[in-house]
Amino acid sequence: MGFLSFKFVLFLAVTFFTYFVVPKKFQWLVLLLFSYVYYFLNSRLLIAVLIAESVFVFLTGKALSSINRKIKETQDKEIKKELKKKNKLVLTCGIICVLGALIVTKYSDFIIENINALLHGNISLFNFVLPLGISFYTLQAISYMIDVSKGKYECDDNILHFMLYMSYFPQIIQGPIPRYNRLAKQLFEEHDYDYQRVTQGLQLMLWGIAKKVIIADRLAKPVSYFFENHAQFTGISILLGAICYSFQIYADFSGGIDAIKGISEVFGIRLDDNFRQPYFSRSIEEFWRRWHITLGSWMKDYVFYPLSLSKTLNRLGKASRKVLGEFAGKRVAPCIATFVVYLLVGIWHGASWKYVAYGIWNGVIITCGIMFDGYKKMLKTFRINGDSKAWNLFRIVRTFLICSIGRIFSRAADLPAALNIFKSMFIRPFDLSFIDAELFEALGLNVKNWVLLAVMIIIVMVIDSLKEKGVDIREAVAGKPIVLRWVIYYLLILAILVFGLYGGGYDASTFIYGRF
Amino acid sequence: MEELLELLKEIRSDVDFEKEENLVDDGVIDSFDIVSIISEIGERFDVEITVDDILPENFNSAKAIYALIERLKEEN
Repeated sequence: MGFLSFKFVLFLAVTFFTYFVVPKKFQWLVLLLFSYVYYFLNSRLLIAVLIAESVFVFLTGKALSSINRKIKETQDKEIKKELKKKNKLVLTCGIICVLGALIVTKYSDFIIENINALLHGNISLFNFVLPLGISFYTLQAISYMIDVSKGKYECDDNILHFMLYMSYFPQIIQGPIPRYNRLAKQLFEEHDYDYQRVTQGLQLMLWGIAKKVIIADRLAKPVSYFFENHAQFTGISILLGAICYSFQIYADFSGGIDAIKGISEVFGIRLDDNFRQPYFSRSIEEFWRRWHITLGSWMKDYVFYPLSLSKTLNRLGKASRKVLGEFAGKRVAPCIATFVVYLLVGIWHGASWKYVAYGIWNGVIITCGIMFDGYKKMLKTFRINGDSKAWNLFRIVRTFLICSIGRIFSRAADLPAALNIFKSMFIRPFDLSFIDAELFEALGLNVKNWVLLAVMIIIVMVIDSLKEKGVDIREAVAGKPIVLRWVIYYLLILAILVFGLYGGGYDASTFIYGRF
Repeated sequence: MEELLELLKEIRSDVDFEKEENLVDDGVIDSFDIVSIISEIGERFDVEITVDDILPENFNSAKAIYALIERLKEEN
Protein backbone atom coordinates (compact mmCIF):
# COMPACT_ATOMS: atom_id res chain seq x y z
CA MET A 1 0.00 0.00 0.00
CA GLY A 2 1.81 3.06 -1.28
CA PHE A 3 1.60 6.36 0.49
CA LEU A 4 -0.40 8.14 -2.19
CA SER A 5 -2.49 5.24 -3.42
CA PHE A 6 -6.28 5.07 -3.25
CA LYS A 7 -5.91 2.26 -0.70
CA PHE A 8 -3.88 4.56 1.52
CA VAL A 9 -6.46 7.35 1.29
CA LEU A 10 -9.11 4.83 2.35
CA PHE A 11 -6.87 3.55 5.14
CA LEU A 12 -6.30 7.11 6.31
CA ALA A 13 -10.02 7.93 6.28
CA VAL A 14 -10.81 4.83 8.38
CA THR A 15 -7.95 5.64 10.80
CA PHE A 16 -9.07 9.28 11.23
CA PHE A 17 -12.68 8.21 11.76
CA THR A 18 -11.83 5.50 14.31
CA TYR A 19 -9.36 7.79 16.12
CA PHE A 20 -11.98 10.46 16.79
CA VAL A 21 -14.87 8.08 17.44
CA VAL A 22 -13.34 5.87 20.15
CA PRO A 23 -13.11 7.12 23.76
CA LYS A 24 -10.07 9.40 23.98
CA LYS A 25 -8.18 7.13 26.35
CA PHE A 26 -8.04 4.50 23.56
CA GLN A 27 -6.78 6.87 20.84
CA TRP A 28 -3.18 5.71 21.22
CA LEU A 29 -4.31 2.09 20.87
CA VAL A 30 -6.00 3.02 17.58
CA LEU A 31 -2.71 4.52 16.40
CA LEU A 32 -0.82 1.39 17.46
CA LEU A 33 -3.27 -0.92 15.75
CA PHE A 34 -3.33 1.05 12.50
CA SER A 35 0.46 1.55 12.54
CA TYR A 36 0.93 -2.20 12.68
CA VAL A 37 -1.75 -2.81 10.05
CA TYR A 38 0.01 -0.26 7.79
CA TYR A 39 3.39 -1.85 8.39
CA PHE A 40 2.06 -5.37 7.80
CA LEU A 41 0.33 -4.37 4.55
CA ASN A 42 3.61 -2.89 3.32
CA SER A 43 6.15 -5.32 4.67
CA ARG A 44 4.27 -8.52 5.49
CA LEU A 45 6.48 -10.84 7.57
CA LEU A 46 9.27 -8.26 7.95
CA ILE A 47 7.05 -6.84 10.67
CA ALA A 48 8.79 -9.46 12.84
CA VAL A 49 12.02 -7.40 12.69
CA LEU A 50 10.20 -4.30 13.92
CA ILE A 51 8.49 -6.23 16.74
CA ALA A 52 11.72 -7.97 17.80
CA GLU A 53 13.66 -4.71 17.81
CA SER A 54 10.93 -2.87 19.73
CA VAL A 55 10.81 -5.59 22.42
CA PHE A 56 14.60 -5.72 22.63
CA VAL A 57 15.01 -1.95 22.97
CA PHE A 58 12.14 -1.78 25.48
CA LEU A 59 13.86 -4.41 27.69
CA THR A 60 17.25 -2.70 27.30
CA GLY A 61 15.65 0.58 28.40
CA LYS A 62 14.13 -1.14 31.45
CA ALA A 63 17.53 -2.62 32.39
CA LEU A 64 19.25 0.77 31.98
CA SER A 65 16.68 2.59 34.09
CA SER A 66 16.90 -0.04 36.81
CA ILE A 67 20.71 0.34 36.93
CA ASN A 68 20.36 4.14 37.06
CA ARG A 69 17.95 3.88 40.00
CA LYS A 70 20.46 1.71 41.87
CA ILE A 71 23.23 4.25 41.12
CA LYS A 72 21.09 6.99 42.69
CA GLU A 73 20.20 4.88 45.74
CA THR A 74 23.66 3.66 46.66
CA GLN A 75 26.19 5.77 48.57
CA ASP A 76 29.04 3.29 48.14
CA LYS A 77 31.52 4.69 45.59
CA GLU A 78 32.78 1.24 44.54
CA ILE A 79 29.28 -0.08 43.91
CA LYS A 80 28.46 3.13 42.03
CA LYS A 81 31.51 2.62 39.83
CA GLU A 82 30.55 -1.00 39.13
CA LEU A 83 26.98 0.00 38.28
CA LYS A 84 28.18 2.71 35.91
CA LYS A 85 30.32 0.12 34.16
CA LYS A 86 27.30 -2.17 33.93
CA ASN A 87 25.26 0.70 32.48
CA LYS A 88 27.88 1.25 29.78
CA LEU A 89 28.04 -2.48 29.04
CA VAL A 90 24.26 -2.82 28.66
CA LEU A 91 24.14 0.29 26.45
CA THR A 92 27.02 -0.94 24.28
CA CYS A 93 25.38 -4.35 23.84
CA GLY A 94 22.07 -2.66 23.01
CA ILE A 95 23.63 -0.41 20.38
CA ILE A 96 25.65 -3.27 18.86
CA CYS A 97 22.54 -5.45 18.49
CA VAL A 98 20.33 -2.71 17.01
CA LEU A 99 23.06 -1.40 14.73
CA GLY A 100 23.97 -5.00 13.88
CA ALA A 101 20.43 -5.61 12.59
CA LEU A 102 20.77 -2.56 10.31
CA ILE A 103 24.25 -3.54 9.12
CA VAL A 104 23.23 -7.14 8.40
CA THR A 105 20.07 -6.22 6.47
CA LYS A 106 21.37 -3.13 4.70
CA TYR A 107 25.13 -3.45 4.32
CA SER A 108 26.03 -7.17 4.47
CA ASP A 109 25.84 -7.74 0.70
CA PHE A 110 27.91 -4.62 0.03
CA ILE A 111 30.57 -5.79 2.50
CA ILE A 112 30.58 -9.33 1.05
CA GLU A 113 30.85 -8.02 -2.53
CA ASN A 114 33.89 -5.98 -1.57
CA ILE A 115 35.51 -8.86 0.31
CA ASN A 116 34.89 -11.10 -2.73
CA ALA A 117 36.39 -8.50 -5.06
CA LEU A 118 39.40 -7.91 -2.83
CA LEU A 119 40.24 -11.52 -2.01
CA HIS A 120 38.82 -13.05 -5.20
CA GLY A 121 36.47 -14.95 -2.91
CA ASN A 122 33.11 -16.50 -3.62
CA ILE A 123 31.06 -15.85 -0.51
CA SER A 124 27.34 -15.97 -1.34
CA LEU A 125 25.24 -12.88 -0.82
CA PHE A 126 22.38 -12.83 1.68
CA ASN A 127 20.04 -10.84 -0.58
CA PHE A 128 18.06 -9.61 2.43
CA VAL A 129 14.97 -7.54 1.79
CA LEU A 130 15.40 -4.27 3.66
CA PRO A 131 12.67 -3.91 6.32
CA LEU A 132 10.65 -0.75 5.69
CA GLY A 133 11.94 2.22 7.67
CA ILE A 134 14.78 0.32 9.39
CA SER A 135 17.28 3.14 8.67
CA PHE A 136 14.95 5.50 10.53
CA TYR A 137 13.74 3.37 13.44
CA THR A 138 17.28 2.16 14.19
CA LEU A 139 18.33 5.75 14.87
CA GLN A 140 15.30 6.42 17.06
CA ALA A 141 16.02 3.21 19.02
CA ILE A 142 19.66 4.19 19.56
CA SER A 143 18.80 7.71 20.73
CA TYR A 144 16.26 6.25 23.18
CA MET A 145 18.80 3.82 24.70
CA ILE A 146 21.53 6.48 25.00
CA ASP A 147 19.16 9.03 26.58
CA VAL A 148 17.78 6.50 29.08
CA SER A 149 21.32 5.35 29.89
CA LYS A 150 22.36 8.93 30.64
CA GLY A 151 19.28 9.48 32.77
CA LYS A 152 17.87 12.14 30.47
CA TYR A 153 14.46 10.53 31.02
CA GLU A 154 13.02 7.37 32.54
CA CYS A 155 12.39 4.32 30.37
CA ASP A 156 8.89 3.56 29.11
CA ASP A 157 7.11 1.11 31.42
CA ASN A 158 4.45 0.01 28.97
CA ILE A 159 5.61 -2.18 26.11
CA LEU A 160 2.62 -1.26 23.92
CA HIS A 161 3.40 2.44 24.42
CA PHE A 162 6.95 1.81 23.33
CA MET A 163 5.86 -0.23 20.31
CA LEU A 164 3.79 2.74 19.16
CA TYR A 165 6.78 5.09 19.52
CA MET A 166 8.78 2.75 17.26
CA SER A 167 6.06 2.14 14.67
CA TYR A 168 3.99 5.37 14.48
CA PHE A 169 2.83 5.00 10.88
CA PRO A 170 2.99 8.49 9.36
CA GLN A 171 6.69 8.82 10.08
CA ILE A 172 8.04 5.27 9.84
CA ILE A 173 8.79 5.39 6.10
CA GLN A 174 10.99 8.47 5.83
CA GLY A 175 11.05 10.29 9.15
CA PRO A 176 11.30 12.88 10.55
CA ILE A 177 13.50 10.94 13.00
CA PRO A 178 11.77 11.53 16.34
CA ARG A 179 13.13 11.83 19.88
CA TYR A 180 11.28 9.89 22.53
CA ASN A 181 11.00 12.83 24.96
CA ARG A 182 9.30 14.99 22.33
CA LEU A 183 7.09 12.42 20.58
CA ALA A 184 5.99 9.87 23.19
CA LYS A 185 4.06 12.26 25.43
CA GLN A 186 2.04 13.53 22.47
CA LEU A 187 1.28 9.99 21.29
CA PHE A 188 -0.37 9.02 24.58
CA GLU A 189 -2.17 12.29 25.31
CA GLU A 190 -5.88 12.56 24.63
CA HIS A 191 -6.67 14.73 21.62
CA ASP A 192 -9.90 16.58 20.91
CA TYR A 193 -11.30 16.97 17.42
CA ASP A 194 -10.19 20.53 16.72
CA TYR A 195 -11.64 21.78 13.42
CA GLN A 196 -8.89 24.35 12.82
CA ARG A 197 -6.08 21.91 13.60
CA VAL A 198 -7.60 19.18 11.43
CA THR A 199 -8.12 21.48 8.43
CA GLN A 200 -4.62 22.92 8.83
CA GLY A 201 -3.20 19.38 8.96
CA LEU A 202 -5.12 18.39 5.82
CA GLN A 203 -3.98 21.60 4.12
CA LEU A 204 -0.32 20.77 4.87
CA MET A 205 -0.86 17.21 3.65
CA LEU A 206 -2.37 18.46 0.38
CA TRP A 207 0.49 20.91 -0.12
CA GLY A 208 3.00 18.11 0.39
CA ILE A 209 1.18 15.83 -2.06
CA ALA A 210 1.00 18.68 -4.61
CA LYS A 211 4.79 19.15 -4.46
CA LYS A 212 5.28 15.42 -4.84
CA VAL A 213 2.92 14.71 -7.74
CA ILE A 214 3.30 17.96 -9.66
CA ILE A 215 7.06 18.58 -9.37
CA ALA A 216 8.85 15.44 -8.16
CA ASP A 217 6.94 12.89 -10.24
CA ARG A 218 7.02 15.17 -13.30
CA LEU A 219 10.80 15.52 -13.02
CA ALA A 220 11.32 11.79 -12.42
CA LYS A 221 11.29 10.88 -16.13
CA PRO A 222 13.74 13.52 -17.44
CA VAL A 223 16.05 12.97 -14.46
CA SER A 224 16.04 9.20 -15.01
CA TYR A 225 16.69 9.71 -18.72
CA PHE A 226 19.59 12.05 -17.92
CA PHE A 227 21.29 9.68 -15.48
CA GLU A 228 20.65 6.56 -17.59
CA ASN A 229 22.01 8.21 -20.74
CA HIS A 230 24.65 10.43 -19.18
CA ALA A 231 27.21 9.54 -21.86
CA GLN A 232 25.40 11.79 -24.36
CA PHE A 233 25.61 14.87 -22.10
CA THR A 234 28.53 17.22 -21.53
CA GLY A 235 29.30 20.58 -19.94
CA ILE A 236 26.39 22.75 -18.89
CA SER A 237 23.81 20.06 -19.70
CA ILE A 238 25.22 18.01 -16.80
CA LEU A 239 24.66 20.94 -14.50
CA LEU A 240 21.08 21.30 -15.76
CA GLY A 241 20.47 17.59 -15.13
CA ALA A 242 21.88 17.88 -11.61
CA ILE A 243 19.72 20.97 -10.91
CA CYS A 244 16.61 19.11 -12.09
CA TYR A 245 17.46 16.31 -9.66
CA SER A 246 17.93 18.84 -6.85
CA PHE A 247 14.40 20.15 -7.39
CA GLN A 248 13.03 16.63 -7.78
CA ILE A 249 14.47 15.36 -4.50
CA TYR A 250 13.48 18.52 -2.62
CA ALA A 251 9.88 18.30 -3.85
CA ASP A 252 9.83 14.57 -3.18
CA PHE A 253 11.32 14.59 0.32
CA SER A 254 9.89 17.84 1.63
CA GLY A 255 6.55 16.99 -0.01
CA GLY A 256 6.55 13.62 1.72
CA ILE A 257 7.48 15.18 5.06
CA ASP A 258 4.75 17.85 4.72
CA ALA A 259 2.21 15.12 4.02
CA ILE A 260 3.45 13.11 7.03
CA LYS A 261 3.39 16.17 9.31
CA GLY A 262 -0.05 17.12 8.05
CA ILE A 263 -1.49 13.64 8.73
CA SER A 264 0.10 13.66 12.17
CA GLU A 265 -1.31 17.11 12.90
CA VAL A 266 -4.81 15.79 12.27
CA PHE A 267 -4.19 13.36 15.16
CA GLY A 268 -2.96 16.31 17.25
CA ILE A 269 0.66 15.13 17.15
CA ARG A 270 3.28 17.66 16.10
CA LEU A 271 6.35 16.11 14.50
CA ASP A 272 9.74 17.83 14.44
CA ASP A 273 10.61 20.10 11.51
CA ASN A 274 12.81 18.44 8.89
CA PHE A 275 13.39 21.39 6.53
CA ARG A 276 14.08 25.08 6.89
CA GLN A 277 14.24 26.49 3.35
CA PRO A 278 17.46 24.57 2.51
CA TYR A 279 17.95 26.18 -0.90
CA PHE A 280 18.41 29.56 0.77
CA SER A 281 21.57 28.37 2.54
CA ARG A 282 24.74 30.40 2.09
CA SER A 283 27.15 27.52 2.74
CA ILE A 284 27.10 23.74 2.50
CA GLU A 285 27.42 23.54 6.27
CA GLU A 286 24.33 25.73 6.63
CA PHE A 287 22.55 23.62 4.00
CA TRP A 288 22.97 20.50 6.13
CA ARG A 289 21.52 22.37 9.10
CA ARG A 290 18.41 23.14 7.04
CA TRP A 291 18.03 19.85 5.09
CA HIS A 292 16.87 16.67 6.86
CA ILE A 293 17.24 18.53 10.15
CA THR A 294 16.32 15.56 12.34
CA LEU A 295 19.11 13.41 10.84
CA GLY A 296 21.61 16.27 11.25
CA SER A 297 20.59 16.90 14.83
CA TRP A 298 20.78 13.14 15.59
CA MET A 299 24.29 13.04 14.17
CA LYS A 300 25.25 16.16 16.12
CA ASP A 301 24.05 14.80 19.47
CA TYR A 302 25.11 11.17 19.17
CA VAL A 303 28.21 11.32 16.93
CA PHE A 304 29.67 14.82 16.62
CA TYR A 305 29.70 15.87 20.30
CA PRO A 306 30.85 12.54 21.77
CA LEU A 307 33.56 12.29 19.13
CA SER A 308 34.84 15.88 19.32
CA LEU A 309 34.94 15.72 23.11
CA SER A 310 36.49 12.25 23.26
CA LYS A 311 39.79 11.89 25.05
CA THR A 312 41.56 10.65 21.91
CA LEU A 313 40.55 13.64 19.82
CA ASN A 314 41.26 15.98 22.71
CA ARG A 315 44.82 14.65 22.97
CA LEU A 316 45.17 14.91 19.20
CA GLY A 317 43.90 18.51 19.35
CA LYS A 318 46.47 19.44 21.99
CA ALA A 319 49.29 17.83 19.99
CA SER A 320 48.09 19.55 16.81
CA ARG A 321 48.22 22.98 18.45
CA LYS A 322 51.92 22.52 19.01
CA VAL A 323 52.55 21.43 15.43
CA LEU A 324 49.99 23.45 13.44
CA GLY A 325 49.64 26.50 15.65
CA GLU A 326 46.73 27.79 17.71
CA PHE A 327 44.17 28.41 14.94
CA ALA A 328 44.50 25.20 12.92
CA GLY A 329 45.32 23.03 15.95
CA LYS A 330 42.11 24.05 17.71
CA ARG A 331 40.08 22.98 14.72
CA VAL A 332 41.56 19.52 14.22
CA ALA A 333 39.24 17.65 16.64
CA PRO A 334 35.95 19.21 15.42
CA CYS A 335 37.13 18.80 11.81
CA ILE A 336 37.72 15.07 12.22
CA ALA A 337 34.37 14.69 14.02
CA THR A 338 32.64 16.70 11.28
CA PHE A 339 34.22 14.59 8.56
CA VAL A 340 33.13 11.36 10.28
CA VAL A 341 29.57 12.73 10.61
CA TYR A 342 29.28 13.49 6.90
CA LEU A 343 30.83 10.18 5.95
CA LEU A 344 28.23 8.43 8.11
CA VAL A 345 25.43 10.57 6.64
CA GLY A 346 26.61 9.45 3.18
CA ILE A 347 26.77 5.77 4.15
CA TRP A 348 23.40 6.00 5.93
CA HIS A 349 21.83 6.76 2.54
CA GLY A 350 22.78 3.36 1.16
CA ALA A 351 25.22 0.50 0.75
CA SER A 352 27.33 1.62 -2.19
CA TRP A 353 30.65 3.34 -2.85
CA LYS A 354 28.75 6.21 -4.45
CA TYR A 355 27.27 7.08 -1.03
CA VAL A 356 30.72 6.87 0.56
CA ALA A 357 31.92 9.34 -2.09
CA TYR A 358 28.87 11.53 -1.43
CA GLY A 359 29.79 11.63 2.26
CA ILE A 360 33.43 12.42 1.47
CA TRP A 361 32.37 15.21 -0.94
CA ASN A 362 30.31 16.94 1.77
CA GLY A 363 32.85 16.19 4.51
CA VAL A 364 35.76 17.63 2.53
CA ILE A 365 33.89 20.82 1.56
CA ILE A 366 32.71 21.48 5.11
CA THR A 367 36.01 20.72 6.84
CA CYS A 368 37.83 22.93 4.32
CA GLY A 369 35.37 25.70 5.23
CA ILE A 370 36.15 25.22 8.94
CA MET A 371 39.91 25.31 8.37
CA PHE A 372 39.75 28.34 6.05
CA ASP A 373 40.75 31.41 8.01
CA GLY A 374 40.76 34.00 5.25
CA TYR A 375 37.05 34.78 4.76
CA LYS A 376 37.15 38.27 6.29
CA LYS A 377 40.53 38.97 4.71
CA MET A 378 39.20 37.86 1.32
CA LEU A 379 36.18 40.19 1.58
CA LYS A 380 38.52 43.05 2.46
CA THR A 381 40.99 42.30 -0.36
CA PHE A 382 38.27 42.17 -3.00
CA ARG A 383 36.36 45.04 -1.34
CA ILE A 384 33.21 42.97 -1.00
CA ASN A 385 30.47 44.07 1.35
CA GLY A 386 29.72 40.83 3.19
CA ASP A 387 26.21 42.04 4.12
CA SER A 388 25.19 43.15 0.63
CA LYS A 389 22.21 41.44 -1.04
CA ALA A 390 24.23 40.71 -4.20
CA TRP A 391 26.98 38.92 -2.25
CA ASN A 392 24.47 36.87 -0.29
CA LEU A 393 22.59 35.96 -3.47
CA PHE A 394 25.88 34.85 -4.99
CA ARG A 395 26.54 32.66 -1.94
CA ILE A 396 23.05 31.13 -2.13
CA VAL A 397 23.42 30.30 -5.84
CA ARG A 398 26.95 28.97 -5.32
CA THR A 399 25.81 26.72 -2.45
CA PHE A 400 22.87 25.44 -4.50
CA LEU A 401 25.17 24.56 -7.41
CA ILE A 402 27.78 22.82 -5.21
CA CYS A 403 25.00 20.91 -3.53
CA SER A 404 23.44 19.91 -6.87
CA ILE A 405 26.80 18.78 -8.26
CA GLY A 406 27.45 16.72 -5.12
CA ARG A 407 24.11 15.00 -5.58
CA ILE A 408 25.43 13.45 -8.80
CA PHE A 409 27.16 10.95 -6.50
CA SER A 410 23.96 9.93 -4.79
CA ARG A 411 21.81 9.74 -7.94
CA ALA A 412 24.19 8.15 -10.46
CA ALA A 413 23.87 4.39 -10.93
CA ASP A 414 27.22 3.77 -9.23
CA LEU A 415 30.54 5.43 -8.44
CA PRO A 416 32.18 4.93 -11.88
CA ALA A 417 29.09 6.45 -13.53
CA ALA A 418 29.21 9.42 -11.13
CA LEU A 419 32.90 9.99 -11.89
CA ASN A 420 32.23 9.81 -15.63
CA ILE A 421 29.46 12.40 -15.28
CA PHE A 422 31.90 14.62 -13.37
CA LYS A 423 34.49 14.24 -16.12
CA SER A 424 31.95 15.09 -18.81
CA MET A 425 31.12 18.32 -17.02
CA PHE A 426 34.44 19.74 -18.20
CA ILE A 427 34.00 18.68 -21.83
CA ARG A 428 32.61 21.41 -24.13
CA PRO A 429 31.39 23.30 -21.05
CA PHE A 430 29.20 25.84 -22.85
CA ASP A 431 27.89 23.71 -25.70
CA LEU A 432 24.11 24.15 -25.95
CA SER A 433 23.66 22.33 -29.22
CA PHE A 434 22.26 19.32 -27.36
CA ILE A 435 18.97 21.17 -26.87
CA ASP A 436 16.71 20.10 -29.75
CA ALA A 437 13.26 18.67 -30.31
CA GLU A 438 14.62 15.13 -30.16
CA LEU A 439 15.96 15.69 -26.65
CA PHE A 440 12.64 17.08 -25.43
CA GLU A 441 10.90 14.02 -26.81
CA ALA A 442 13.41 11.73 -25.11
CA LEU A 443 12.99 13.53 -21.80
CA GLY A 444 9.31 12.66 -21.95
CA LEU A 445 7.82 16.09 -21.22
CA ASN A 446 6.32 18.56 -23.66
CA VAL A 447 6.70 22.36 -23.47
CA LYS A 448 3.43 22.75 -21.51
CA ASN A 449 4.73 20.38 -18.85
CA TRP A 450 8.04 22.22 -18.57
CA VAL A 451 6.15 25.51 -18.16
CA LEU A 452 3.93 23.97 -15.48
CA LEU A 453 7.03 22.64 -13.73
CA ALA A 454 8.71 26.04 -13.81
CA VAL A 455 5.58 27.77 -12.44
CA MET A 456 5.21 25.26 -9.60
CA ILE A 457 8.92 25.46 -8.69
CA ILE A 458 8.66 29.27 -8.62
CA ILE A 459 5.59 29.00 -6.33
CA VAL A 460 7.51 26.67 -3.97
CA MET A 461 10.54 28.98 -3.92
CA VAL A 462 8.40 32.10 -3.36
CA ILE A 463 6.68 30.38 -0.42
CA ASP A 464 10.11 29.36 0.91
CA SER A 465 11.31 32.93 0.51
CA LEU A 466 8.28 34.24 2.45
CA LYS A 467 8.98 31.71 5.21
CA GLU A 468 12.59 32.88 5.18
CA LYS A 469 11.31 36.39 5.89
CA GLY A 470 9.33 35.07 8.85
CA VAL A 471 5.88 34.99 7.21
CA ASP A 472 3.76 32.15 8.59
CA ILE A 473 1.93 31.04 5.45
CA ARG A 474 -0.41 28.68 7.26
CA GLU A 475 -1.43 31.32 9.77
CA ALA A 476 -1.93 33.76 6.91
CA VAL A 477 -4.23 31.28 5.11
CA ALA A 478 -6.06 30.50 8.37
CA GLY A 479 -6.71 34.23 8.80
CA LYS A 480 -8.50 34.53 5.46
CA PRO A 481 -12.34 34.40 5.18
CA ILE A 482 -13.74 30.87 5.10
CA VAL A 483 -14.80 31.14 1.43
CA LEU A 484 -11.31 32.11 0.30
CA ARG A 485 -9.80 29.35 2.45
CA TRP A 486 -11.97 26.71 0.83
CA VAL A 487 -11.21 28.11 -2.62
CA ILE A 488 -7.51 27.56 -1.81
CA TYR A 489 -8.18 23.99 -0.60
CA TYR A 490 -10.23 23.13 -3.67
CA LEU A 491 -7.62 24.64 -5.97
CA LEU A 492 -4.98 22.47 -4.28
CA ILE A 493 -7.09 19.32 -4.67
CA LEU A 494 -7.86 20.26 -8.27
CA ALA A 495 -4.17 20.92 -8.99
CA ILE A 496 -3.24 17.52 -7.53
CA LEU A 497 -5.90 15.74 -9.60
CA VAL A 498 -5.33 17.65 -12.84
CA PHE A 499 -1.60 18.33 -12.80
CA GLY A 500 -0.39 15.32 -10.83
CA LEU A 501 1.13 12.56 -12.92
CA TYR A 502 -0.42 9.13 -12.56
CA GLY A 503 -0.54 5.92 -14.48
CA GLY A 504 2.09 4.04 -16.47
CA GLY A 505 5.66 5.20 -16.01
CA TYR A 506 4.86 7.26 -12.91
CA ASP A 507 4.95 6.04 -9.38
CA ALA A 508 3.20 8.44 -7.10
CA SER A 509 3.22 5.94 -4.28
CA THR A 510 6.92 5.76 -3.45
CA PHE A 511 9.34 8.32 -2.12
CA ILE A 512 13.07 8.59 -2.82
CA TYR A 513 13.93 8.72 0.89
CA GLY A 514 11.73 5.72 1.58
CA ARG A 515 14.40 3.64 -0.16
CA PHE A 516 17.23 4.83 2.10
CA MET B 1 33.02 35.87 34.73
CA GLU B 2 35.29 38.46 33.07
CA GLU B 3 37.67 35.74 31.94
CA LEU B 4 34.80 33.71 30.53
CA LEU B 5 33.42 36.69 28.59
CA GLU B 6 36.87 37.32 27.17
CA LEU B 7 37.15 33.68 26.11
CA LEU B 8 33.71 33.76 24.47
CA LYS B 9 34.58 36.99 22.62
CA GLU B 10 37.72 35.36 21.23
CA ILE B 11 35.63 32.55 19.77
CA ARG B 12 32.75 34.68 18.44
CA SER B 13 33.61 38.37 18.35
CA ASP B 14 30.30 39.15 16.57
CA VAL B 15 28.09 37.99 19.47
CA ASP B 16 27.10 40.13 22.46
CA PHE B 17 27.51 37.49 25.16
CA GLU B 18 26.56 39.91 27.93
CA LYS B 19 23.07 40.41 26.50
CA GLU B 20 22.21 37.18 24.65
CA GLU B 21 19.98 34.85 26.68
CA ASN B 22 19.15 32.23 24.03
CA LEU B 23 22.46 31.44 22.39
CA VAL B 24 21.54 27.85 21.57
CA ASP B 25 17.75 28.10 21.22
CA ASP B 26 18.02 30.97 18.74
CA GLY B 27 20.88 29.35 16.84
CA VAL B 28 23.32 32.19 17.65
CA ILE B 29 26.07 29.67 18.36
CA ASP B 30 26.41 26.35 16.56
CA SER B 31 27.83 22.95 17.48
CA PHE B 32 31.30 23.96 16.30
CA ASP B 33 31.25 27.02 18.61
CA ILE B 34 30.12 24.84 21.52
CA VAL B 35 33.00 22.42 21.00
CA SER B 36 35.46 25.35 20.80
CA ILE B 37 34.00 26.88 24.00
CA ILE B 38 34.22 23.56 25.85
CA SER B 39 37.78 23.00 24.71
CA GLU B 40 38.84 26.53 25.80
CA ILE B 41 37.07 26.24 29.16
CA GLY B 42 38.91 22.96 29.76
CA GLU B 43 42.22 24.71 29.09
CA ARG B 44 41.65 27.86 31.12
CA PHE B 45 39.36 26.80 33.97
CA ASP B 46 40.67 23.27 34.41
CA VAL B 47 37.22 21.66 34.41
CA GLU B 48 36.04 18.86 32.19
CA ILE B 49 32.72 19.48 30.45
CA THR B 50 31.44 16.16 29.13
CA VAL B 51 28.95 15.38 26.41
CA ASP B 52 26.28 14.87 29.12
CA ASP B 53 26.59 18.55 30.04
CA ILE B 54 25.77 19.69 26.51
CA LEU B 55 22.22 20.81 27.12
CA PRO B 56 20.77 24.05 25.70
CA GLU B 57 20.11 25.36 29.23
CA ASN B 58 23.84 25.10 30.04
CA PHE B 59 24.92 27.12 27.00
CA ASN B 60 22.09 29.57 26.40
CA SER B 61 23.94 32.49 28.02
CA ALA B 62 27.31 33.44 29.45
CA LYS B 63 25.73 33.29 32.91
CA ALA B 64 24.55 29.72 32.32
CA ILE B 65 28.00 28.68 31.09
CA TYR B 66 29.56 30.31 34.17
CA ALA B 67 27.11 28.49 36.44
CA LEU B 68 28.06 25.20 34.76
CA ILE B 69 31.77 25.88 35.34
CA GLU B 70 31.09 26.70 39.00
CA ARG B 71 29.03 23.55 39.45
CA LEU B 72 31.71 21.36 37.87
CA LYS B 73 34.38 22.98 40.04
CA GLU B 74 32.33 22.20 43.15
CA GLU B 75 31.80 18.59 42.05
CA ASN B 76 35.55 18.18 41.60
